[in-house]
Amino acid sequence: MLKLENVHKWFGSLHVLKGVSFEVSRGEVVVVIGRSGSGKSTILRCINGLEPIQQGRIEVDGDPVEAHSRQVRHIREKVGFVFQSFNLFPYYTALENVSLALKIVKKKPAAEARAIAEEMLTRVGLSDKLEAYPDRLSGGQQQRVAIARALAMSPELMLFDEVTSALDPELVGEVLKVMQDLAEGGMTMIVVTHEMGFARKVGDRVLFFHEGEIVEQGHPEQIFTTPQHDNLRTFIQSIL
Amino acid sequence: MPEIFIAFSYRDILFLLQGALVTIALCAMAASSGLILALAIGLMRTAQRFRFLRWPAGIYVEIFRGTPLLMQIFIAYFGLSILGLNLPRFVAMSIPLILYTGAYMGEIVRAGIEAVPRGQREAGLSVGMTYGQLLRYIVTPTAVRVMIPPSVGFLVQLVKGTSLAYVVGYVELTRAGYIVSQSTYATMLVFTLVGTIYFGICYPLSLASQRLEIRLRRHA
Repeated sequence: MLKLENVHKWFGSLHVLKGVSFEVSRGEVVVVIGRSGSGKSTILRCINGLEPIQQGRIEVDGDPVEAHSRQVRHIREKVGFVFQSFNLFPYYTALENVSLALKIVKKKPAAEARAIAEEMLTRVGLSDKLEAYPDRLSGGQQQRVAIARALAMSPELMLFDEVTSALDPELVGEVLKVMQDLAEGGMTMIVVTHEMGFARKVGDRVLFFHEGEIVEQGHPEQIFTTPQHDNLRTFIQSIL
Repeated sequence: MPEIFIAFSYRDILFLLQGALVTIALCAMAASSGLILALAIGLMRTAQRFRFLRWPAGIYVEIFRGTPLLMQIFIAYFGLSILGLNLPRFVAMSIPLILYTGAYMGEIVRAGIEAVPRGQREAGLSVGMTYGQLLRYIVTPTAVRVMIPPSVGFLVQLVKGTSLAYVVGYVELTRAGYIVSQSTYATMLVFTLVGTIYFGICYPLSLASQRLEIRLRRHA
C-alpha cells in the first residue's frame, strides 16, 4: 500500500536521503532505526508530504505524494502522523483535539464526531480526560491524545516519529502499549524509534538507516542477533 | 478661578465633546478598516504558497512605518485634492489613518501568525486541513492571544495620533480645544480638559484588554 522508489531529499546542499526504496504492505509493522541525522524522521515527513522530495517517487495506494499539491490533503486523511513533540492544539480540549478534523475535514455532524472522538480516547485509555486541556495532561497522556487524534480519521497507515523520545521514562510504557494494541489490531504502521524492545516484539521488519540510506533490513530477530553491516553492529551495541 | 468659569460656558464643553466624537469616529474608522487591511498584509507577509506576495506587503509596511504620520496626513489631505479628488474631509482624514493602522497592525498580525509553533501547523496539515482551515482553527486561537496587548497599545497610540489632524484644520478634539482656548483664553483649563477626555477614551481600552487577556488565559 506504500511504495518508495529511489527517494532523494536535500536540505539546501545537505543530501539527507540518498535513494531510499522500500515497500510496506497492508497490516505490516515496519520499524525504522538509525542514529539521529540518518534521515529516518525525514522519510516519515516525506511520506505524508510535510517535506517535498527532489527526486524519486512516493505512492500511497497508487497515488503519488506531492508536497504542496492540492491532493496531498487526501493522502494525509489516509495517513495518520504522530509527532515526537505531540503537537496538540493547546486551546482545545482532548475531545476537541480529536473531533476537530472529523468536523471540518471529514464534515461529520457534531454528535457523530464527538462519539468517534470519545471512542478513540477510550481506546487509548483516556475516557476520563475528555474535557481536559493539553496543559493539564502528562506527556504520556498528551501523546495518547495525539494518537487518538490520528486514529479518528480512520487512517490506513500510521506513521510514528520517535513518539516516546520526549517522554519521561515511566510514561513510555503506556504509549508503547497503545501502539502494540494497534499493531495487533492489524494497523499498517511505520515506527521510527529508539525502543529496541518494542522493535523486536512488535516489528515485522526492521529498516536500518545510515547516512540517508537503508543499509540493512530484515526480520527483527535477524537484525538484532546477526547484524551484517558494521555500522548496524556498532549502533546496536551503543543502544544496548 | 471664578473668571475662568465665566469665560468658559457649557457651549464650550459641548464643542469639545463634539470634537471628541469626531476623534472617536476617526479612530473607529481607522481601526476597523485598518484591521481588515492589516489582516491582508499579515497574511501576505506570511504567505506560504504564494511567497511573492511577501515583498509588496513588506514595502508597504516599511514606507508607512518609516515616515511620520503627520506627513502622511498632509499628503492625503492636500495631495488628493491637488490630484483633483475632492473627498469629504472625514474620508480624506481617514485614509492616512487607515493606511497607518494597516502597516502597524499588519506587523502585529504577522507576529501573531508566526507565534504559532510549526508543529501545530504540521499537526493540522497531517489530519488533512486546508491552509484556510489551519488559519481559522489552529492559528487564530493562538494569534489572537498574542495580538491583544500590542494591538491595544497601538489603538491608544492611534487615538492620540488622530490629534495630528488639527494641523490641517480638521476639527477633532485637539483642534476643538485649540478653538475654545482661543476664544476663552482658559488655555490651561481647556487643555487639561482635552487631555482628560483623551484619557477617558484610552483608559477603557486598556481595561478592556486586560479583562480580555485574563478571560482568554483561563482556556490555556
